[in-house]
Parts: sequence; structure tokens; C-alpha cells
Amino acid sequence: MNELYWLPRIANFGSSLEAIGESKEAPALKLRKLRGLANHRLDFNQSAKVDRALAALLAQTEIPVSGFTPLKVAILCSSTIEPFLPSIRIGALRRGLLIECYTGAYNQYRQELLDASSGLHRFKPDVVIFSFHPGEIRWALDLKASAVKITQQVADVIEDWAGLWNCAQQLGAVVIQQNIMIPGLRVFGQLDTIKPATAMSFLAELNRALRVKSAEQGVLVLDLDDLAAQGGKSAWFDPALWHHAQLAISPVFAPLFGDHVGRMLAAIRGLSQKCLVLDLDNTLWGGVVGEEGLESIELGPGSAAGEIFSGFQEYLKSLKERGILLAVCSKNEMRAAMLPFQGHPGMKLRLEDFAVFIANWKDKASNIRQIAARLNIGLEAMVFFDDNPAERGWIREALPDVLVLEAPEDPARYADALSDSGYFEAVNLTEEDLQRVNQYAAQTQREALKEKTPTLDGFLQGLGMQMTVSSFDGPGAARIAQLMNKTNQFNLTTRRYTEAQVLQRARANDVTTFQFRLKDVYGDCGMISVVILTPVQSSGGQELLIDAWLMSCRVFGRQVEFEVLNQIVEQARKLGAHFFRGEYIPTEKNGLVREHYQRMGFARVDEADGAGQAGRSVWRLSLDSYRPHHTHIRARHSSEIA
Amino acid sequence: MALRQRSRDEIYKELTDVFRDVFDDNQIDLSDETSAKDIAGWDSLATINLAIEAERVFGVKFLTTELSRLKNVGEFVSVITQKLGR
Repeated sequence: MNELYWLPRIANFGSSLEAIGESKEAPALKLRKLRGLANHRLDFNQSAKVDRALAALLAQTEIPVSGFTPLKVAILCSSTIEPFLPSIRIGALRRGLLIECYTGAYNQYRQELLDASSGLHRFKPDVVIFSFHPGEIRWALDLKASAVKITQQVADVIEDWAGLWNCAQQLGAVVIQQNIMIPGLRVFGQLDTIKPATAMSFLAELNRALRVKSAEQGVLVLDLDDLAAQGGKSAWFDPALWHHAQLAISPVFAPLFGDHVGRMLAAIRGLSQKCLVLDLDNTLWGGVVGEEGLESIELGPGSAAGEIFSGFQEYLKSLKERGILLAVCSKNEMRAAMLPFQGHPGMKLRLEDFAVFIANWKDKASNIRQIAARLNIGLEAMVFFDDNPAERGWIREALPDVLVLEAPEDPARYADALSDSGYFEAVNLTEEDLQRVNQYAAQTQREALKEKTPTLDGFLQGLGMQMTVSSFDGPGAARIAQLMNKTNQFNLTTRRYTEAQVLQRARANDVTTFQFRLKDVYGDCGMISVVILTPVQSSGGQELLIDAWLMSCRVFGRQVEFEVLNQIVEQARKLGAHFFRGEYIPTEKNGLVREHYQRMGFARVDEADGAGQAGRSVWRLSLDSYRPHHTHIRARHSSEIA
Repeated sequence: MALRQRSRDEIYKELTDVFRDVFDDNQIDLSDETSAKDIAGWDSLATINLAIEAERVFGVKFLTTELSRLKNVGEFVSVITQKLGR
């Protein structure tokens, strides 16, 4: 865990940064774009570059800037901090903070704190961060010293620190004390843990005492020891860099370190996120409940995958219990979405754990707007978590204020990603502590920025969808049969054909078959739709019946069905047909496509047809007057269609 | 990455990219004699930044003594060549 892995990678970093620099837009808008860029997985050098662009932009901008909160931060330390400042500023920018940093003269923080005419006093910091390294803490390294004596020495160090905190608090600043990264060097080996006077035990005792004292004095603790341990202390502390440049942390990890500082600063200003919006299928459980049914989803004991999803739900429940609002935003039938909540033993979350629960087929951006409106919170207070990269891409584009996590490939890491992202960082300060901070607060009213609103249409275009059309064939038969037997929601007739029956139709002269595959910029979706056309009896081939039309739920809402119709019409015309007959046969799960043929421009004709089944409908389309639907999908034929 | 044989020319080319990236200046051209006085902003911390970026690009890790040698480009290339050759 040494990079910002919950943020998306950026492919065109250089050109994106350049474009922001060269654009003639208003500074506030450019700043927002820079913030968007900061919300990527930047490395050390990239963070430095964004920071330079930020400085250049701020030099020609009046502060405060609408939508951004200014904050003055002093970092008092006895090691080299300069390489970390860009990453700290970018970590703060990522959360809508514009910070000004003060570092003071090297290793003179004591003088600066006490001297009322010092640069530090003139700077008037909102936050003071103390960062010490193990080397400057003095203790009698007598390995025979008793535990009592060690405890006394620890108390002396903490008293000294508390005095420094006091000075900073008198300046009106909130104090953050970084704890000590305990070095890995051992004199006995494992015994160092037990012996009280080893460096390891002494510093561990110091970190423990810091926890107690900081709570008493309203000071926040940045747990560097844990942060470095998670990343690997032997890499975080590089003796070569220490001896060359007094770097207490390798600057390679500056982006992660800076993000942790940034999230604490944001929490101090009340800018942490408040609401987590969750997808359902393959997020809260494995599988698609609307497709596979309640029995087949992976959840609860019995399988590793099931346990993982239950574990994730437990973590979410603990977030809810500490006050994070949970909401559901799922593309589903409401009835299917609710099923697991009503009767699945592996569910840890209950319906009442969610502040808002939305399941429909609308695009997720409008649903998230609705969730924000119902909870009366801003979009910038919301975090979106969804396993589907296309949904994440769309929300990032449509709602740039919403924070969208990259979901790890392995659901076993979902909880880690949420935890490591720090979006819900909290500070436990008293009212008085916060008032001190707030007296400087320059309230900046967010005004509507005249930014081009991204459209769903533009998003679909950006997906770069490519469809491959072919008739049934041997290699595809297994997947066709699988789709025909598993697809429940987008399935007009729900005819279940076996692989042998599929091959039979592939060979039949009077049957026209189609398999559709789809690719987009996120990858290959594979085979996603199947259509079978058979002649309507006694029409002499003039009218074709759509015997089967089905589509995978992975590509709902992407105009795939419209392009499929364009393709099958084109082919049917070549065969000399003039009409399509479409049939909707209702089942428990295909309510989604009840109006499908109407949307496609078919006319209802079943009164004349006389078919008796309840809810069934029959539709007709004239191919001669059909005009292709406009879509953002480029279709090509992989072979001549039989 | 570290195992691939690179010619001195290739190392020069990649190191030039490192310098351009770290100093954010696409005009930088290097020679063996290029040193701190030739490039604005090349101070001791910039040397660390160069070292870190070069470690990533070449897949090497500089020793403390090697860091001390990174005073001009000729030395930079020699140290990297030595490390890759090992």
C-alpha cells in the first residue's frame, strides 16, 4: 500500500496538465480542473508538477476562490520537509483545500514558537504540524534501566511536547503531532519487545503516552508509525537519504503521506465526505440477483466469495454506526433489489441501514443527484462505490464533485480501499477547538460555475463502443446457449435452447441467427446479445418472427438494443422481408422489456392475433419505412450472415 | 527492466528524459560535463529527486556512496552503467 491505488490511473497526464495551463478559462474553473487532475493516482514527480501549476495559477488569482477553502499550515520539524510540501498541497487540493505552508528556519521551531516577532507568529497558522524523528529524542540508553525509569523519561518527553503544543494552540492553531516511526533495528532480537529500555520499547511507550496526552489536550495524532508499517518501514526510512539529505521518509512515498495530511486538514475544516452510495450486484454480494435469483448469489458462509461479501457488509455497517450515511443506487427492478434484504441469511446490512434506497433503470447520475437532494447534502459530500468501471467513468464525468473510488479487482479488498481512501476521515475535536479554527474561516459561497455540463450522449460517444455482428457458429454455440439459459431480464420470449438446438438453428436454411459482441474503451464485454428470426408461417418469407431477442444486463443503457435492431433490419431487408413480428412473453423477471417493442417503434397488433396468454403482447414493424436509430456504436460484420 | 542491456547512448537518452521530467524543462540537453551550475534549480534536493526518478526508470537502488558521486552527468551515467552491468 504505497500508492494512491483507490484513485484512477491517468494516461495522458502531461497533455492534461498542459491543457489546463494554456486554457483561457476563469481561474476558479481552472482550479476545479486542477483538482480533478489531483484526483488521480499521481506519483512523486507528477504531484510536484501539479503543484507548480497550482502555484502559477494562484499567483494570478484572488483568494479566496469560490468553492475552495483556504488554510494556513505550519510544519515544524527537524528533518527535511520540502520534498513533501507539493504532495501535501495536492493532497489538500484533492479535497477542496488551498493551503499555504510555512516551514520556518531549519530546526528552529522552539525559538519561533516562543518569539512573538517570529515568522511563525506573523504567519498566523490555522494548523501546526509537529514532526519529529527518533534521533532528536534523548533518553538514557542504559539497557538495564527499569521500566519505572523509562516511564518517567517518556513522561518528560511528552511534557516537553505538550509545552510546544500549548504555544501553538495559543496562536489559535489546531495541533497535529506526528508520532514516531519506530526503527527496525534490534539489539536482542524479539526480546527487544519485552526489555523496557531498548529503543524499540522506549519509542513504543512514547507513542502510547502520546495517545493518552493528545486526547487530554485536544491534539490530533498522525500515526506515521502505522502508515510506514503498512507500506514497509525499510522502504519508508532509507538511511542513504537520511544521511545525505536528512529525509526522515523516502520522498517516493510523499503522495501517500501528503494525502494523509490532506485528509486530516480537510476533516478539521469539516470537508470529509458524509455519504457512501453503493451499487448492489457484485458490490454487496457476488452475482446478479435479478438474473440468477436469490439462491445463486454469493453471500455468507459456505464459500470464500460469500464470506468476503458478508465481511464487506460488516465493514459498511460499522461505517454506518459511526455516522456515515449509506445509500443504494442500483440498476435493478426494485423487487429484485430488495430480495436479499428480505430473506438472505448472509446479509449483514438491513434495509433500515440505508438512508436512501434507489433501484431503477435510470442513469446513476440522476439517481445520485436525487439521493443528495433527499439527504440535503452537497454532491461533494458523496462517495460512490461500484464494481462497474463504465458506471464509475460516467459518474466521474457527469458529477465531478462526487468522489468515485476505483473498486479493487478482488472484492476481498473492497473494505481496504474504502478505508485507505480516507474519504471519511474524522477528527475528534471539542467545540472550543473547532471554534478556534473557525474564527478564521473565510466562508466561500459556491457559485454556479459556467461549466459545460457533460451529457449522457457525450459519455456514450466516449465509450468508443464497437459491435461485432455474426450469425451463430460452432465456436460461439456454448456461450449462446449459456446466454439463452441465464438471461432473465432483457429477454423478450425466454425460450431456453440447448447447445444442440442452437447448432440446429445455425444450420437451418430458413432461420436467421445473430450473435453480437461488444468492446469499449474499458475492455471486451464479449458476447452480449442474441437474436433469432424465423419465417411467420404462410407469409412466404415476407414477415419474420423475432423468435428470441435477449441481451446481457452488463450493457443495459448503452443503446445496444437500438443498434441490434438496425443490424437485424438491414439483414432482413437483404433477405427480402418486409415486416418483423415481435412477441413479448411475460415472466417473473422480464418486466424491464414490457415496453421494449414500443420503444423500438413497433405497433401493437395482438388484438388481431388472438393469443390468449395474460400479459403477452404482439408487435409489428414495417421494414420498408424503418429508419435506423442513431447510436454511438460502430458495428461491423465478422462474416457473411447466413 | 534492470536486467536488460542498455548502451551508454540509451542510458543517456533515458537520463535526459529523467532530467527533463524532474526540472520540467524539455530543452535540457546533457553532456558529461553538465553539472549543478548549468541547470537552474539543481540543488542538493534536486539531486535526490533525480536519484529517485532514475532509480525508478532504471530499476536500480543507489548506495549512500553512489549518491555522493552524482555531481555531474558523466558520473551519473557511470554509476548507472556500473549498476546495470553487475
